[in-house]
Amino acid sequence: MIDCNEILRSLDAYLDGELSSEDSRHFEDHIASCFPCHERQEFRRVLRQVVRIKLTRVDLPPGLAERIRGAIKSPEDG
Amino acid sequence: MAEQAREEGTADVAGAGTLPLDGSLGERFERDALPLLREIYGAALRLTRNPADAEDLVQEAYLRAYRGFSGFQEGTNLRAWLHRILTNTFINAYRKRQREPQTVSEEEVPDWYLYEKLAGGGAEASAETKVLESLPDEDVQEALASLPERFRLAVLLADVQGFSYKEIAEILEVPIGTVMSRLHRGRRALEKLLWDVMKERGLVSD
Repeated sequence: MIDCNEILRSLDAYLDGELSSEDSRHFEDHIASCFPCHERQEFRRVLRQVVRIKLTRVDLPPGLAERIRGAIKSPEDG
Repeated sequence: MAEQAREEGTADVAGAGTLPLDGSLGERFERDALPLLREIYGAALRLTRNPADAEDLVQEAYLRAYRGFSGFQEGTNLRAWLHRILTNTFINAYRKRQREPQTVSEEEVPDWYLYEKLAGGGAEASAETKVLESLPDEDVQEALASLPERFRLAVLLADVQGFSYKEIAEILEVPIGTVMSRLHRGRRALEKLLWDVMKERGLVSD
């Protein structure tokens, strides 16, 4: 009997791709047949995606690349 | 001080010179490091929490990276190397000037705090996350910004930049166990902050 708490403790590491292939398989076998754990896994997975998308959208200031090129070419410290 | 750095395009052909960069190395820097600017600026923005400081930080980090580029081994992880320089530059120079936000208490957030709040009505995971998707980007950015710095850095490097625990440990110069515990606490604290902002927005009720 697999302990759900033990599985859920490894959820972050699973989603981070940090479990060994054996432990990953063990994890996947469990959530395939355990609805509550599967739901929690789905929740964290989607939450991460949403957070990532919302934190990745960035407006690059216009001309920044050019300013850096300029600074590199005449690197006196201001 | 790198007055000796020359970038005249006619510098002698590659050699292990002591000058920061000769022509070909300078070209390689532009070719390999500059395309990562958007990502590095994005990280700087999350660190400094304002565009003006982020721009200064990025310029300084790129200048440092440029000066140190001759010591960078081609074929190793340029992204991680740049993030490390960015992080160190931030910690050494910018952090002192910035007030740490104190919006988050250090108390530990229960593992399933947000899930249980959202799933209280027995909705399916997909329905629970819909409400998260409806949050404006700025709210999520502010939630991250109010995490204590050591948590913010770990969450940023893992969940936004996608680095492995080992890479994060190298970037932050801390043991892997420390990375894991900061990530764990940071993510849970972020979930709590997201709940708070959803409540403020009237998207959910207790």
